[in-house]
Amino acid sequence: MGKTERRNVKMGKRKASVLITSFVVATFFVIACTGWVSPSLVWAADKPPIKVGIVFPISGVMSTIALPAYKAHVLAMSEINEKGGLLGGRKFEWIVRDSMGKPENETRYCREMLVSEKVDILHAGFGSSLGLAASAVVKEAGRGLAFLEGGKTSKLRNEKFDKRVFYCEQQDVSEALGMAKALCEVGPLKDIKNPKIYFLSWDYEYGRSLFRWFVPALKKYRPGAQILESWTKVGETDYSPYLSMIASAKPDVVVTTIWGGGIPTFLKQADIYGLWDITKLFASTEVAGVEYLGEVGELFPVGTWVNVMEQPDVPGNAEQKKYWANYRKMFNGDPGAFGARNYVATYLLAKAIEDAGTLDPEKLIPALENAQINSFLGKVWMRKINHQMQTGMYWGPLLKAAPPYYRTLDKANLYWLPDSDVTFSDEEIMAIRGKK
Amino acid sequence: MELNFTLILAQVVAGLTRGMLYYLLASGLTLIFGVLGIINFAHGTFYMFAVFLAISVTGLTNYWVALVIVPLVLAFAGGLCEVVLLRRIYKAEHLLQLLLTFALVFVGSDLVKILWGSYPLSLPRVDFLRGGMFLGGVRISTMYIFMVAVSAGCGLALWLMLYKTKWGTIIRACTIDKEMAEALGINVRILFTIVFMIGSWLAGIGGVVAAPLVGGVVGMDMDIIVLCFAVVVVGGMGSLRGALLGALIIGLVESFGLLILPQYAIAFAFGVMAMVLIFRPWGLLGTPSN
Repeated sequence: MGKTERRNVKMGKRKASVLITSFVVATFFVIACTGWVSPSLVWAADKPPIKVGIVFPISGVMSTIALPAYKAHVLAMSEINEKGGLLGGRKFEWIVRDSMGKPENETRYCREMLVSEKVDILHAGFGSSLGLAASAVVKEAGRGLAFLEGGKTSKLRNEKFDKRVFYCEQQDVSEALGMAKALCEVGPLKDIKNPKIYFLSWDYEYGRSLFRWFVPALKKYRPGAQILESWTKVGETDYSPYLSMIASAKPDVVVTTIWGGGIPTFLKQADIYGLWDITKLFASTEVAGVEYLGEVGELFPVGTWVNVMEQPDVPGNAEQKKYWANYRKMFNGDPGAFGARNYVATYLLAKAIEDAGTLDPEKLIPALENAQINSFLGKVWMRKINHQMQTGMYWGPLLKAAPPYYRTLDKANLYWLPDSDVTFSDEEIMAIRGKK
Repeated sequence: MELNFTLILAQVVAGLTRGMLYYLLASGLTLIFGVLGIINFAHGTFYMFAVFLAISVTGLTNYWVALVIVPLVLAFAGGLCEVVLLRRIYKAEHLLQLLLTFALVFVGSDLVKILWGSYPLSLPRVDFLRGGMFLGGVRISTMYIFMVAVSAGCGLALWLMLYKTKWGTIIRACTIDKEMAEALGINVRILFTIVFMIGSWLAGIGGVVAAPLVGGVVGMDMDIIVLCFAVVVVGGMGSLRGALLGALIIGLVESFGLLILPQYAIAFAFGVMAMVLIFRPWGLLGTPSN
């Protein structure tokens, strides 16, 4: 290669490197302006995001209801972002981890969210065992604020109460008291003086805790009731020995608190066994939501008493229809019943953030304790003493319906039970906590 | 709860049904260990794949097609795993073998999520398996009869293959002394692949048989593999008769344990396993060398 040629090659290389460098700088400039790679790149210079960590069991046996709940959060946060965000333009940004329903994963990911990712708000604890794990991490981390979505156990709200933790899931006390009331006043035991009840539950905190409250509550209505019990492992896949025990006992009603992926399994096996020729079913844990009915609606015996927060046309108001339309547009499917409370909880939290004017937990906690909104579920507010979101529950029997759900609530026999009617008083809660 | 003949018989039936499903899965696990010397943690993952595949194939065709095709697919997948991965670690220490098969568990779990999503799935109704009969006042569903029949049939076929055929004799020879078998001209590498495929086929058929009852849930592999290990430990690693005995014991203990002490139901199978480990660590029908 001659001298001229070498010079030309050198100049060519220099031109190429200038071009490439200019292109890279321009690209970053465009990216920064449009926020294409990550909104936080833009907001870092503008408004910082409201960081939300979500640790849910979005796979495994609990995912049946955890997925709709997660999607409902995402929908609510996206809607709020579209309207301009909170605190003068700050938008929600969320990180998700799949706990797979295991407390050890829950602990690890909650710690990651609060300590490493430094999220402002943590949504976690779907399931009582996970709630206990998440609550312990929140206490240990000493920062941020948590909304526990599952975790019905009243232990979290009473003995293990922490001011940084709020609950949108109905607690087991309210559910147990509601079960006893619904069973005996309007449900399958309405006309039975000395019933025989078979209680079937997964053997973990929620099941045990609910049973603890359910038995004395039932005995108040039916002192002569005989209560048999069976406990399975969480996510049991073979109910056959339990089915034969239930069939042999011939109870007036089977009361079950199995939920998530356990319900389709249990119903399938009970159907194969022919259990509903022998007894009736009373299922709590909101199994009348479309997340269940879409899977196994046909397998619910007609007349099964259930509880639920909402169904396609229950309550049936305009706001609920709008929520369903938006959910369908975003996720191409119907929202499950567990989505409703999580959707509403996000709006309640948003109201509290605006009222507080900050994400500082010292100011946000009192704002949330006093927050109140009107939603399609009615008035929703936070109870100060135990940080329990107050809504209510529908109880009623299932009727036959058309596909895709095959069952629907009997609207002529719906029984609305507000949480405030089936809960402990402030004095009772303080007594449980050992204070006067 | 008051014990009566009907209830006892009902629990025996439930325990036997459970036990036979455990046997179907544990036989594959123990066969693989006995011949290849590998503790295959991923055996439960093959079972989980079979359940999900059965749901998909049944949805597209029908359950009987799934019963034939799905185990064959799993057998092929097992063969592929053995040739590509496991063959490289036969001479490695047990810990490395465990790590590899454990890694397959995680890979398999994420693969199921990618292919089928993370939502639990249910098999479309199989009308033939509904209904049942009464025996001594106890209702026995067709599904349970089917499960026991398939498990017993597979167990019998496996026994006939191992003890009444030339191939079975060769497999048993390899179990006793691989080097001598190789020296006599037996292609041990291909034999290992075939045995792994048989084990995977058994996991496959276990999954298809269980699918109408259990549905597909991500994470079900870990639940079943723990119980399979309990069965194999109780019966004896590497012993097919031990796997049958262990499976029936675990199934019946679980079934009757629920009756007597329902609050401690979860612990029974592992209580039995612990007792066997303490007093007879090689299992009821195993040999001390295992």
